[in-house]
Amino acid sequence: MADALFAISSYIDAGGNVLWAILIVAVALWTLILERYWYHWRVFPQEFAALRAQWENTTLTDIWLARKIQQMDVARLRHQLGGSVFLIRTLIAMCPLLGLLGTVVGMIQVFEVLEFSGTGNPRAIASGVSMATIPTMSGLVVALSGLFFSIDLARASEHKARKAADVLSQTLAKIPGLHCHVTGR
Amino acid sequence: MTNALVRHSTAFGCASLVALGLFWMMTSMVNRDAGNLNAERQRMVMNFIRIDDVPPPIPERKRKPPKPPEQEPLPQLEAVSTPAPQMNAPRTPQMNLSRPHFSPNLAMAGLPTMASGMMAYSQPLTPVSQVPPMYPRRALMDGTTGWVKLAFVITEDGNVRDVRVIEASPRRGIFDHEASRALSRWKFHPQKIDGHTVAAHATITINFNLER
Repeated sequence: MADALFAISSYIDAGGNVLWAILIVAVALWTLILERYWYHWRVFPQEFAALRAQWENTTLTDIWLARKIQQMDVARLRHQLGGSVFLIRTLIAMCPLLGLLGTVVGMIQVFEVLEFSGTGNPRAIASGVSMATIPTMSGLVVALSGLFFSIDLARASEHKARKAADVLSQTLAKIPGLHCHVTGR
Repeated sequence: MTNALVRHSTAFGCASLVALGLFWMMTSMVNRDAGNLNAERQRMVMNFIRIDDVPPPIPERKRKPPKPPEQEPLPQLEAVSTPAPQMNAPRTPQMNLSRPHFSPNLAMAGLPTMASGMMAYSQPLTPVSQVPPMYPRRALMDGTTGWVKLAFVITEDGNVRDVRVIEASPRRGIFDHEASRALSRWKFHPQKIDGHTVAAHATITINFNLER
């Protein structure tokens, strides 16, 4: 463990300060992703069950009013499901750009080294080159790691919201005095 | 609300682990062989240097003194009169040219020359050793004759230096170079004053004649 931490810290040293930003972004990104999955797996079923029970025992008699209130509930549910998906996407888009920033910083360092020592010192240039390439790789890796889950989350939240709307709309059928066709949403 | 807070903080903890794992993965991607290198470094290396206990003593060699070469009396050789070799060498084609003849005009010696601090050479200007100048090839072909008057300095050890052409005939300088080259190799008796040798000025005229 300590070995791995040491390796990571030396890696960050080699890559320059931008790697710290990428690390922070990675932590934030994965915090949001894990929080979303937690919500989808644990919290959302409870909330949905509570909402469904509430609607099955509804005392509303006006079908129009009931449908409007249900629309509001579904919208709130959708919002909660979607949550920070947009923020996740933003962070994923930021990662390669941060990597690019690190690359540019590293290239500037390479040029400074060239200015001092000329082209005859490949060892001095090498540190700048690794500083230029490592952030790009890190940004790409972090973005790639998050990309699949962000799309999966967006898809799942939309899917669950539609399903919830469907299920809830069926509870409206038990309301007496329903004469018209029941639609979802 | 507290529920969401717990959720976020737990997720944050897990996310830190995930991010560290990602970075560790990147590290291992970059230094793929680092572990192998360390293992390579720590592996025992067999040492194949053979160390003998005691080197055997080097036997001393006795050197025999070389025998003195035997002095054999040289055999007395009979004097035999050898006949003169009859040479049948092919006659090389020869140019029908006259022999170059040089006669340094020694009458010019001893003339007072330059008025610098150096004294003039007072002895008869007879060279100790003399390098004959080559007759220039063009002059030989054209049949040109002439003379060169040279001023020079006889140094303390009898050498010649500072050779200058004063006058020459013909003026085109056909003989100048050859004359000064030859003269600079000549040797003279150095000028002596009270037992000391000093440098002295002298002038010489070298004639280039073609013998008929």
